[in-house]
Order: sequence, then structure tokens, then C-alpha cells
Amino acid sequence: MLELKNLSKFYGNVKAVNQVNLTISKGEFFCLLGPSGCGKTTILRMVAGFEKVTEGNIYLEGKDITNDAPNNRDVNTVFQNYALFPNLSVWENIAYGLKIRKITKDECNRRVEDVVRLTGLSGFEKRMPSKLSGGQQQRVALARALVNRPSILLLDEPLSALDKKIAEQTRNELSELQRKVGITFIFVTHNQTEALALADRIAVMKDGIIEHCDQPKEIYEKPRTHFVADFIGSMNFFECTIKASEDKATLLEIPEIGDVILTGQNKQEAGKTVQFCVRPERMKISMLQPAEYENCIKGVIRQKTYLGEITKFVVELAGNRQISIMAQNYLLKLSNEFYDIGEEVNIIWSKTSGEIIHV
Amino acid sequence: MAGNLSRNNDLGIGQSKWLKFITWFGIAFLLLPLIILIVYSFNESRTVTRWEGFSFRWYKALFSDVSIWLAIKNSLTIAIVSTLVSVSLGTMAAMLIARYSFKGKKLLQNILYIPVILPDIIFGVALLSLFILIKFPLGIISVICAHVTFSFPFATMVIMGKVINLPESLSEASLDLGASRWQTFVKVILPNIAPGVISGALFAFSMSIDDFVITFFTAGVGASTLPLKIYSLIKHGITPSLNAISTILIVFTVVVLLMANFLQKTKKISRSFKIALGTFFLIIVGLLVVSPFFTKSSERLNIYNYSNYLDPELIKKFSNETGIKVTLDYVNDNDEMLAKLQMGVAGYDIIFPTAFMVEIMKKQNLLAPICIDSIPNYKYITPGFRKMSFDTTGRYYVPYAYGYTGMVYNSNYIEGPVDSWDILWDERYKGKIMMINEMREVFFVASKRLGFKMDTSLSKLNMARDILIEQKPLLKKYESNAIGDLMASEEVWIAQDWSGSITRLTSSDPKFKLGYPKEGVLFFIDNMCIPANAPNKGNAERFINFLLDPAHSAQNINCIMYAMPNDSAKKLIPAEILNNPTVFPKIKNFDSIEIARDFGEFNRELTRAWMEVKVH
Repeated sequence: MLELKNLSKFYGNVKAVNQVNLTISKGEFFCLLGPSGCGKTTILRMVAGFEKVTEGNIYLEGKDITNDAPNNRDVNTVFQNYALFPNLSVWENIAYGLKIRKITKDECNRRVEDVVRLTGLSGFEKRMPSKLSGGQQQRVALARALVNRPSILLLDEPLSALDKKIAEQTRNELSELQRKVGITFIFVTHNQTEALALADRIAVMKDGIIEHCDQPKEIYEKPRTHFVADFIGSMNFFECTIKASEDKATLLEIPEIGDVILTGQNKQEAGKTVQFCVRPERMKISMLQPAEYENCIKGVIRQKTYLGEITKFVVELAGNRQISIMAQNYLLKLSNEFYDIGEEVNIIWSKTSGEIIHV
Repeated sequence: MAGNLSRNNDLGIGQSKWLKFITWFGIAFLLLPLIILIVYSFNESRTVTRWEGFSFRWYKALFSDVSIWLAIKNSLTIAIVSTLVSVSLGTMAAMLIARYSFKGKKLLQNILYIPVILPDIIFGVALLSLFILIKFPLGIISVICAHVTFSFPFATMVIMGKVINLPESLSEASLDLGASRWQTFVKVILPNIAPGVISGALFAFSMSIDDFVITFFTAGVGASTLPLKIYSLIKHGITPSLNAISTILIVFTVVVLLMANFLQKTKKISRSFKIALGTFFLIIVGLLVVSPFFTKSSERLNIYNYSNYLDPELIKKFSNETGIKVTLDYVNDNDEMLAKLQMGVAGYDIIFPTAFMVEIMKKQNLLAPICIDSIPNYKYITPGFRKMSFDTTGRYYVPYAYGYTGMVYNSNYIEGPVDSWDILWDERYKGKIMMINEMREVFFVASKRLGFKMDTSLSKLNMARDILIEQKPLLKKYESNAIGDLMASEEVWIAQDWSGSITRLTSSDPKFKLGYPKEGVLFFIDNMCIPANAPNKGNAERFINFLLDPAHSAQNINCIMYAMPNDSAKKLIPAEILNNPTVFPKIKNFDSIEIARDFGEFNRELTRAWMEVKVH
């Protein structure tokens, strides 16, 4: 179990990490997600011991390791650029940590063999790192860290240097690998797709603080802040006022556009100004009138972009506000040709969709 | 493949025929002298300019010369130790500059360039001043310190190139995997910057091996390196022996630099190279063990002499008989000897100044009085040499050897008799006459031709100057070092020359003959003196006594072929040497011989007149 208590890192006046509290349980696949400069890598580097902690403490299995040297921590890192030792072969790279720890030769060979098999590197043991592809290098970096059986494996954007296809494949393998070895993974990324696909829990960071920490589904469906809502996926925001609210149903008034209903929420305080947000893929364009369980507003199509699996519409609402809508291309004609730019359409979504964000 | 892809640009930039020609011409100009030097090192002939067949003769001569081996050993010891130190320092400095930001980093980087930009001579003088100021004894260690100062910035720069290219995450990865900082340095950083470290080392090594100027200033007793030795050999003319040493040095340097270049390019260092490196280090350790650093001997004697001016067998014998460890360093001329003495840190016990220099040194209180009582063999010295005009007390010198300046000529071209200085003004030999490049020698000849005794009279001096100007169009040149070579190659037919050099020429080929002018010759007497601050004065006196022993004196004369004022020794010398007028001039009255003196204040006038001749 890893525990961060009031962890802070300041560079002069810049608060790279500010009072972060976090508990990561054993065997968890935990993801630190955020734009560059949000402090996610700094947290990782403090856990690894490469950065001095300004304030706060780090506990590993209940033991305070805040000021331990990196070589005395039961933690290993997979670096963004892999940091393989260019002077050593694949085998020597992987065995490096074991040799340093003076583990017997037989034991060392057995463990390296195991991890080579696990990461699919069989046959590459004698190669030098410079003779490997990016994906292979990534596996060596992973194997080199895993072979030490650390309590925690830290991964710093391990997929960012790979091609999209390879990255996707490696992502699946990584997830499988983590389940097999059962080691706690802390994964740093700016790529929300990776985070959603891999993590048991995600911490979304901004400006050195954790905005929202929860399971991927919760983060996506019920973002707690505007930033989280905006950063993960796409989102349409409406400034509105709560007109009336009771258990399981809230009536919101969007100025110039009209009233919409959101069900399945707790009772809200009436008269309060809030943000109502709906994901573009939860909305549809229609000529038909809404059903009873649906909200409907009017708009004019301004842009239409064909994106392969989906078509993206930009629709202008009253008061010059624009929102985007994603339509699956399951009926190409319907979404792509039926509606044209300049047409006035109904925008319809279920009353169960959407989220209220308190400002 | 990559080569095929890069094509010549269509504008033809950098493809002009002239550009190619000039580049190749430049390269040829650079390499041609070296090629000539290498080819002539295999020349059978003694002269540099004429080919007489292939031979290893000069290499054989080279390898049988103990003093050259000693110089090579010194050079290697200095180069290896200074390389190790400068590479260690350089690696540390490179890590510091490349990895950390700190106050004054920019300044430090710029300071590193100082030894690169600064002329060696300034650096040498500066180091010498420092050593004198802090009373650091001049010797091998002072030379090593000096070499470290100039090679360490180069090593730093080469190594820094590698350190900068090494991602910092490699060190982090190593620490992360449990390695300590030292393990990280040894297992990760060092192997990856090794090509830089090794090529830095090779640069430092070749710079140290080649250095002359800085070594010249900072060398002390027992620190004669190969370049210093080579320079001292030039005194005897440019022999193929020099070519042979130079060839070896060239080959060595080229190999070292090729290795440096190769290592810069390779990323991984092979196992065999590691073994080679290990062997190299073992050799270093071996060399260090046998080096004079650790050979502790309480009794020492440091001699500062011209090369080939003392029989090395005698030194060996003296060492064996007394247990005193003798170190012999080479001096090139009187002025150099004076300069070393004035520095006050040279540490020599016996020096061999010429008469006029004894006078100068005595005036400057640089000489210690010699205790004649502790030199019983002083009694063998010819009485006329005991209290000569340059030191009438006779307490500051013991005469060593003497000779004179006469003429040597090629009898195939010059019709005899050659018995007057007048022949050096003979129009028939225009362009084939040569004079020594020393003002005292030249003005002596002019004065004699005019019938004067050379003294401090300005009007006489000006007259001498005028006839020298008149002579100048007839001269090949003024030359001191390559007289023998120019005579042998027949570029010069008649030359003013020192008796020792005449002896070598006349014995090498009967066509060379001595010309002894009836007007008189200028004698020189070289003396054994003890510097005022000699550390082993007693041993110096013992050695002087040893040399004055008639048997030893005779052996020495046989070896160096110069006359010595030791009458008992003469009886032990073969008749052909004793009767050779170039070795033992026929002198009736030793009191009447003329020797070069120090003119004191008048030196300034003499120098001015000499300059007027030279620039005319």
C-alpha cells in the first residue's frame, strides 16, 4: 500500500505538486492523468526518489520512505524513453538489478528467463538495445523493472513513444501483465484513452492538485469539476439555473434556450447557478419530436465533419452558443447526407443523460 | 546506401578544380617533409641530403644509446601519469559541467579554454614562476603537474561531448534498480562515456609526449624527456639518428591518434580492447615501480652537460665505485645554463660553462668556491690552466676540455695551402663559404684578419664590422648546427668550424682537411663548476676528482675527442689522437692563447655591430 500525505513539491514559487493526499492499494492499476505540467510526473519521481520532497510524506507499506535514496526503495520505474543501458545486451539489462542485489546466479537466470517469457522477449536476449524496435525496447524496460518484483511499478508515459497501433497492442498486453504479476502499477499519462482502458482508478490532476480521483466510469460519467469534464472526452456545457428540484428530478433553465430536465440526481438547491453538461455522443439530431423521456432544444447546423466511424456536427443554438454532437455512422445516409449545413434541427437527448457541475 | 543518396549539389559549390588543387597541395605540403624524414632515417649515409642505400644503422645506433632510453622512459612515465591524472580530473569536470548548474559554471567553462588559447611559452614561464614562488622542486613531478594543466582542459572537452549525450535517465534507471552512485558510475556512466575518456586520454598522452616548450621550462634534475633530448642532439648537427627518433615518434603519434579517432566512432568497446586497456594499465604500474620516483638513494649527483660530452662508461664506473646515483641532464648552450642557474631551483651539482660564462656566473654569485684540497687529482692539471684570466683566483672552476675555432675545407675544391683567415674572403669560392653563427667567433676572425687583438675598442669593432659586411655576399650563410651536414653534401666547401666538429669530419673522409690560420685561433675552455646552491657539493668534488684521474681523463678524451689540460693523461692516449692537430693543437705557450672573454658593458656594442652585419 502506498500512501501520500500532504505531498508537495515547490520549484521556487511554482507549486508543481500541492498538498496531494492519495492512497493506492496493493495490486491496484492506478493512473495519474493530466495535461503536461500538471505535476503527475513529479509525483512519480518523488515516489521513485529522484526528486526531493518539499513537504509531506510518502509511506510504503506503512514505512516512511520520504527521504530514502532511490536505490533503497522497493519501487521500480519504467522510463518514458525506456533508459535502457546501451552498453548492455537485453539479458544484461534485465539482470542488472538482480546482479546489483547479489542474487545467486541460478536464481538470477531463472527470474530473468521467467520475465523474458512473460514479456515475449524470447530470442532477443543477446541483442543490444539499439537493435530493437520501440515496442521491443519498451518490453525490455518493463522486464528490467518487473524482474526485481518491486512492491510498486512506476510507469512514466510508457506508451507515448510508440505508434498508435503498437501502443494499443502494448496497452492490452500491459493490462494482462499487471493482472498476472499482481504488482501495484502507477501509470502516468496525458492520454485519457489509455487511462480509461487500463486503470482501476484514475486521478485527474491540474496545477499540482488532484481534481477528481475515482474509477474510470465515474470519472467519465460523473465528472466532479469543469476541468475533469472538459479534459476527459468532449463535453457540451450550458450555464443554467436550477428552477426546481426534488428527489430524482431537477428542472433547469438555460437562458434563451429553454428548460431541460435531468433525472436520477439528488435533490438540488433551487435558484442556484450551475453548469449543466452533456456529452456530444449522448445527443442526437432529429427532425422528429422528442419522446416523453427526452429533452429537446432547437439549433442550426453550422459544420459537418466526417470522421470515419462518426460524423461530428457543430450546431448553433440561440444566443450564438455552439455545441457539438457526435453521430454514429451506422446509417451513413441518415447522419451524413440527410442533414445539411444551414438546416434547423431538433437536438434530443435522454433526461437521464447529463451532469450538474457546481461552480 | 546513404552514400548513394547524398548527391552533388547542382550549383557545384565546393567542386571547383582550384579548390581541390589547393586542398591537395596543402596536404602534400604538410606530409612531404614527414615522408622525406622517414625515408632518410633509413639512409646509410651520415648526411641528411644524400642517399647512399638502405640501412637500419641509425635505428641500431639509437637503440644502443642508454641516454635515449632514459629519455624515452621519462617521456613515457610523464605522459602516462599526467594522462591518468588529467583524464580523472577531466571526467570529474565534465560530469560537473554537463550535469549540474551552479554559480560560475559559464566562467569555469571559459577558464578551461585558457590553456588551449594561451601560447605554450607563456604557460611555461607562468608555471615556472609558480614553482619557484612556492619552492616546488623541479623534476619529473613538476613536469607532470605542468602537463596535467595543459592536457586536462582538452580531456575535459572531449569527455564532456560524451557526457552531454548521455541521457540523465540512465543514471536514474541504475539508481532505481538498486545501484549505488558509485556502482552507477562504474557500470553505466563510465562504459558509455568510455570512448570519450579513452580518446581524451590518447589526446592528453600525445600532447604530453610531443611537448617541448612547457617541459623545457618546468623540467629539473632527471626529467629530460625525448623532445628535450632530441633538441640537445641538434647541437651535433642533424644526423639520420634524429630522423630515426622522429620517425618512431611520428609512427607512435599517428597510431595513438588513429586509435583516438576509431574510439570516438565506436559505441561499444570490445572485450579484446578491454584486455588491451588492462595490459596498458599493468605496464603503467610496472613503469612506475621501476621509475626513479621510488628508487631511493641517499647519495646523489646531478650533472648538467652537453650531450656526448662525457663518456657514459665513466659515469657508470663512478656510480659502481661510490654508490652515488648519477643523473645526467642535457644543456644546449651557455645561455640556457645561465638561465637555469638564475632560476635558483635547478638542483644541479656540476655544470660545464665556457670560460666567459664562468666569468658571468661568478659575477652574479651563482658559483660555489671549489675546495681544491678535497680534489687530490687537481695536481695533474697543467699549471697554465689553473688560474686563468677569467678567474684569477682559480677557486671557481676546474678546467675540463678545450678546443678552438679553425677552418675545415674540402680538398677536392679548395687549393691549398689553407693557412690564413684570408681564404674566407676569396672571391673564387663565392657562395661556398660559411661562418659560424656566433658573434664572438665571427668578430674574432675579422679582428685577426685585420691584425688586431679583439678588445673593447669601438673603432676596431667598426672596422671588423665593415670587412664582415664586405664578406657577406660570398657566404652561403651563418650556421652553427649543420656545419658537418652542409660540408658532407658539398653545398659548402670551406667553413669556420669548431675543432671537435672538424675532428669528426676529417676522420670521416680524407678529403676534409683542417685549415689552421697563422694569424691565430680563438680558444674555448669548458670548465667544471659547482653552482652556489648545489645540493650535493661533496659528491660533485668527488666526481671531479674521479674525472681528473689520468686513466679516466684519457678514457674521456678517447671518447669525446677533445683535448684536456691533463699532462699525465696524455701519456695514456694513442699517438694518432695525440698527434691530431684538431684534437691537440700545437701550442707552444699556453699563456699566450686567446680565449673568448666576457666583454661586460661592451657586449652591447658588439651585439649592435653584429646586428648591423646580419641585416646588411
